[in-house]
Amino acid sequence: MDPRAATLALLGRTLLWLAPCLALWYVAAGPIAWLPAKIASPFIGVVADVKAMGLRERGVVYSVSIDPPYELMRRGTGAATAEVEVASATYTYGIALFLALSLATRGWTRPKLVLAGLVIVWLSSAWGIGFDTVRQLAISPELASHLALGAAARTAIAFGYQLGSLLLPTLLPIALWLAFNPQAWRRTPGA
Amino acid sequence: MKRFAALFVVLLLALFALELTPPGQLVVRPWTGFVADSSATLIRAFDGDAMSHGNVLFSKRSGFAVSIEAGCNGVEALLVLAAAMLAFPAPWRMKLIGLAIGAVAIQALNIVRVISLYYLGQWNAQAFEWAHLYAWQALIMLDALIVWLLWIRALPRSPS
Repeated sequence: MDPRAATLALLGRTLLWLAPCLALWYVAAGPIAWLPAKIASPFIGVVADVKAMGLRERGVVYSVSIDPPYELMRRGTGAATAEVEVASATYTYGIALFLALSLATRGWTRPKLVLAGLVIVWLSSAWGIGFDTVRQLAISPELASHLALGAAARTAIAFGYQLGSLLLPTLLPIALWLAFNPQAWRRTPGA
Repeated sequence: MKRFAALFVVLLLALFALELTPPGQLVVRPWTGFVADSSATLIRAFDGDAMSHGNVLFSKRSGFAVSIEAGCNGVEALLVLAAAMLAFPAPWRMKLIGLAIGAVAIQALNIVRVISLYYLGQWNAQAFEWAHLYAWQALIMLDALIVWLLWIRALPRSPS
């Protein structure tokens, strides 16, 4: 087949697979966030103690406690508590994209790679969940005095959050698919 | 492949960081307004109802409004495509042609996304959310991937 026609055929097959893959993912979007949310907990722990974590239909809720800085504590200020809800599904839908691309690829004979890719995409959503939680805490005016974040920390949180929400969910599945299927994009004679 | 991957990551992070800085926003904000304005103009050509103000597209009839934010203006997909084309070994002329065609392809589909969300939002909130948060995000990046793959196929054969 002409390489350009093959690329367009890949697009067509991917679109056909994307609908059922997204539907399947959507059904499972709540529970599959549990492990990435657990993985994100230690990262959130850098700014707040995670006391409890619960799942919502397509989200995760963290109950956190934040100790005040030493100066405030000396003046008798106690720990602050907060509940943060993260729409975890917005970080896990890349699973459907990776699965659709993999199923649409002709001649893939390496199911272990597909499985590995799914696990990587799934667990990488911990990045977005973690940064989203920390961002929500960081922008809360009620918690500003307890967190006392510097400008550099705020910038790092903003960058990590933007990366986790705007790029990773869609870019990582595609990058992994390209890495696992070099024949799809390497320039070969006649291609 | 390692060189391409490393260069791609460096370029993408640099472009992405630039996009978030105040100078980058000097370009992104007017562009987002242009996307809203173009969408409103296209809708008016068929429907006669949509208006835009800044980055907000709204319906005078129903009062429904969509605000085009980061991630909905097609800029991120364009940055990914730009990083991939710049990092890939190819003649500069081909890179520039690819970037120009890719920008048109991504932004054209992005306007389709905005218009479809404008109508979906007035029809059903759940369908709007599903399309906005998941389906269109995947489709726009898929668009960038296909443009890149087609561009690679159009490159002159490297001497063996």
